[in-house]
Amino acid sequence: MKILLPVDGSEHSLDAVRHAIHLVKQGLDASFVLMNVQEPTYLYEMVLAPSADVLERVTGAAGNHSIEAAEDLLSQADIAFEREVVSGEPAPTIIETGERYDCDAIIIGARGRGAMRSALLGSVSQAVLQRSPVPVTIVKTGQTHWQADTPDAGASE
Amino acid sequence: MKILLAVDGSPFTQRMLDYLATHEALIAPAKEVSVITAVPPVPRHVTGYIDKASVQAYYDDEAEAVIKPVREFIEKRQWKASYVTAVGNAADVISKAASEGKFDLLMMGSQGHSAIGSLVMGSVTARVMAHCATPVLIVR
Repeated sequence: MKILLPVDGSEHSLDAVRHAIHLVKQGLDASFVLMNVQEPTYLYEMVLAPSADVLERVTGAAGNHSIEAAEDLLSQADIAFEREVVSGEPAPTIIETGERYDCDAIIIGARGRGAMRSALLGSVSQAVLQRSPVPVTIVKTGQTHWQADTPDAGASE
Repeated sequence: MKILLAVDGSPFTQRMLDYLATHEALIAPAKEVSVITAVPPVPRHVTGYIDKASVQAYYDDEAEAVIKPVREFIEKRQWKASYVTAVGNAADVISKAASEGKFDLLMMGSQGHSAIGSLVMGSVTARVMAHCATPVLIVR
């Protein structure tokens, strides 16, 4: 099965990747599409004040940067993946990308960059959950059971 | 891998099973899946009028009504499963089972019997997500 892993560069969003790695180590046979969505640059921003920040978004560097930590995690775990950095509105773009890659499921962090303590589920995760044609796994932050994923940690279940 | 399926006999239960049937890779690594359903408790002021055995029989019947089609579906596919039913508030029952059983994944519907289509998720799913640290795979 093919699983979509959207990340936004935040530590919270990496927990979704850690859960995916944990499932693979438990024996799950799946391939992954790692993705990041960059909100589009507006002409206004480009014309008026092309700061380094804007230019980074334009060149997709921000997207690549956001996805780096997740790529490292997957590579260290020796898990192959496809990657996609896209521009657009986060939730619809995530779903569209999932459809484009024919993903069977989405694994996403409960919260991401804009995390407010009081929010159970971030706005993007919520919107993805609401509109996704495939099941969505929500991973909360601060999980620890995958810390046992070391060779000498003993057998699972 | 340990997977817990929370079922309630609503259309979402069948959707979840249908998804698993078309994506067996997800449950393949699990030696068996655990299936759980919660039966809401009979109010105290009612149980005062009914003997314990009858109340228990009621709970057993309610649970069996939910579990039976699930068990049949699972046995037809020759998956291995264990079944647990518990009396209590569904969100509490499911959260407790998922945490205490150290499950890697909890699967449940986005809503249940009282589904309102426009909501992101129903009350039980929302409460489970609020209280339980286990990653939750939500089937719409």
